[in-house]
Amino acid sequence: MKRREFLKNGFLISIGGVLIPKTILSCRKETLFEESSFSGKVIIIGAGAAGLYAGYILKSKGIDFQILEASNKYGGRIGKNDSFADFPIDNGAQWLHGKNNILSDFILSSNTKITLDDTENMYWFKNNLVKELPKNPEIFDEDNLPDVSFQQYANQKEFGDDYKYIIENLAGDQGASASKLSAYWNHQEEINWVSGDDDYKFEQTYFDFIETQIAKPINNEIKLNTIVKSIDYSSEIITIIDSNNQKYTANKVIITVPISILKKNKIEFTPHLPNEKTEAFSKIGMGAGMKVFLKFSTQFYDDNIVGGSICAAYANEKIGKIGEDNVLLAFIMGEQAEYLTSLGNDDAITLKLLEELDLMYNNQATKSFISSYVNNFTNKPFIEGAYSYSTINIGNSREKAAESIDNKLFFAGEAMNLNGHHQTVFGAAETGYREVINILKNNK
Amino acid sequence: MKKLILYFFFTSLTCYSQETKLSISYEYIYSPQFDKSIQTYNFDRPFLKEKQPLFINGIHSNFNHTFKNEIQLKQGFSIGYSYFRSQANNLNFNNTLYLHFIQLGYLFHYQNSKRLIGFYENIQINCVLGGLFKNINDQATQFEEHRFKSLGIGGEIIGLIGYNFQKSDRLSPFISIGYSPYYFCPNTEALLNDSKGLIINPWVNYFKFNLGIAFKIK
Ligand SMILES: Cc1cc2nc3c(=O)[nH]c(=O)nc-3n(C[C@H](O)[C@H](O)[C@H](O)COP(=O)(O)OP(=O)(O)OC[C@H]3O[C@@H](n4cnc5c(N)ncnc54)[C@H](O)[C@@H]3O)c2cc1C
Repeated sequence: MKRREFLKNGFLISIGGVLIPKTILSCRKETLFEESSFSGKVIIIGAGAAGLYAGYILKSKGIDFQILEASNKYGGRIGKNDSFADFPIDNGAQWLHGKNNILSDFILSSNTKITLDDTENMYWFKNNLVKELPKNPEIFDEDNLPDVSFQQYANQKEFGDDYKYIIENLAGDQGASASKLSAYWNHQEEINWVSGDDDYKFEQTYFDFIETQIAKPINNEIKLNTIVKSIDYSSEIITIIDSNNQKYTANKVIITVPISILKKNKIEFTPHLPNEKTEAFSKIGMGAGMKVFLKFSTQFYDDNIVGGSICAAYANEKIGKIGEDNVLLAFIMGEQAEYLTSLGNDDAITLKLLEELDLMYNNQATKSFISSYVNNFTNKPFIEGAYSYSTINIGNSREKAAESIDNKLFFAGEAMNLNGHHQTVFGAAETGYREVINILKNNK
Repeated sequence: MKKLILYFFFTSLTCYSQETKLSISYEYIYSPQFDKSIQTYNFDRPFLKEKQPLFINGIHSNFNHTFKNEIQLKQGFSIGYSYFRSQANNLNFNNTLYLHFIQLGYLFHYQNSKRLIGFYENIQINCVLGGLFKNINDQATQFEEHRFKSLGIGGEIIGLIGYNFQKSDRLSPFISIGYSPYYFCPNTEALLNDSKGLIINPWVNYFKFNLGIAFKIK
């Protein structure tokens, strides 16, 4: 072949080579839905992490939306109290669990200050505070667990009564009583967890981060004090009615209210939601939960105390914060929270906790007690519990619960997370953007 | 010891081989699944001004060796390595993804010296091993105290056309296209987008195109 011939052939080959990728490149956009043809209106019910993040994404896409929030503030299960101590405390969510998640990226990029909480546990075991337990109770990460409760499985493994509240603490982390949380399904659902094991605390609060970075940019689109009572999705345009009988219309609705609200049919749907859907709601657990902050004149307590019969988990609230006040958090879930709620008032709850701490620390609690602040999520009318947990026989209920209906109703919120990130703030945020994707996907 | 093994390896190749070539090429990759994960990442992180680039451009190097044969169709083996990087530098947040592939394969080399003088074609069938890694702010991401990674395995079929210059056949430019069905461990989406539910299928397909130059060693 002559040089000229080679050049000719070579030229053709390279043109082909360059053209093929060019053609493919033209349909390779950097972002999903770079040009979305959706021009309708989206209404989001609930301004917790899921609703706020969904709104934040819609705003970035220039899509018309409004958030209807029942309470008088946004944040849902994230909140803060500035006045109880000389540092801000988190009313609800406070730890960033792991760093492989969307909010962690946001936290890093916004230079939000967080610190690793690597404090050690002390166990209240056989009426003594001990650093180590005779038997390791971390038995719920194994494969082939039976579909029985944490408590039953612990009994099968011969963890006797002495371990009852240690196991209660493990279940409490999952927002449940040890008698109700499924060993099998909890493990199955957590298999997908990718965020990592470390816990981080905010120098300010989780709420501050959510407020400045996510809620403020969409503040104009949030309507507070708007309790959604009914949703009629029988026609193309969806009609929503609030407790003041005000009407709102939308093409798509993202429902982010806690699973407890859906389980109790606090929102009426026309037509009724399919049975499969309501059954799925009913199988997802959501138990009682509260946080009690106790302020003391001295720090007589350890950083983490696990295994109390009144409260299975206490934590030093000052960790990661800048301040002088000694605040101990009592993190109470499941049956323990039910019991304390049944006492009827905050003083009675505080007294019970002080009694327990006195027993653990030689009467030092009552002596140095200053004040308390009880934040009971069980009683909050628009939350009614802590967070979702895996019940015995939950199966694929989360998937069923999260399925959209008629391409009109979309379900988000921590309980609808299928990534194993349920029970978390970033898990709720993930469902927020997931449902925006589902809306846009079906309306190309 | 290592040096000794390498010495024997190369001397054995040069003694018995028909041809031994080293090549370096630009590699273009197109994988709808990788694209979708990164596009989702960019979609759900509007707070990052600079978007994460898709995996598109990479480099590939290859070592191949064809055995002596009287007929025009020769056979041999090849070892290749491809490298892709996707980096987005945002304020306080620098996200870098690394994608590596190692290809081990068998090749068929065809040269018809009468019809298309100078041109040769290779068909290559490879087994591919791959790894996907991520650094945030120059630190490897961790999961359960280990480097967070996603490993995979797949097959690859490649068609290559090259040209040997008549005066000196030491250098030969080539282009190739390839296709690979590939199975990544289900961590891929988690690594790219911190999620697991959006693109459930861990099967990845990719197409690739290479443009490069091969150096004949022997
Ligand atoms: C005590 C406690 C501690 C926690 N600790 C952590 C932690 O450390 N780290 C972590 O990641 N997560 C933690 N969580 C979980 C985390 O707070 C939740 O997973 C997350 O905030 C849930 O967000 P969401 O948007 O799904 O729901 P929500 O935040 O509950 O938002 C739902 C919103 O819907 C509104 N609503 C309800 N009914 C109606 C109605 N009819 N009309 C209009 N609006 C309505 C509610 O008022 C609420 O604002 C904790 C939760 C609790 C309770």
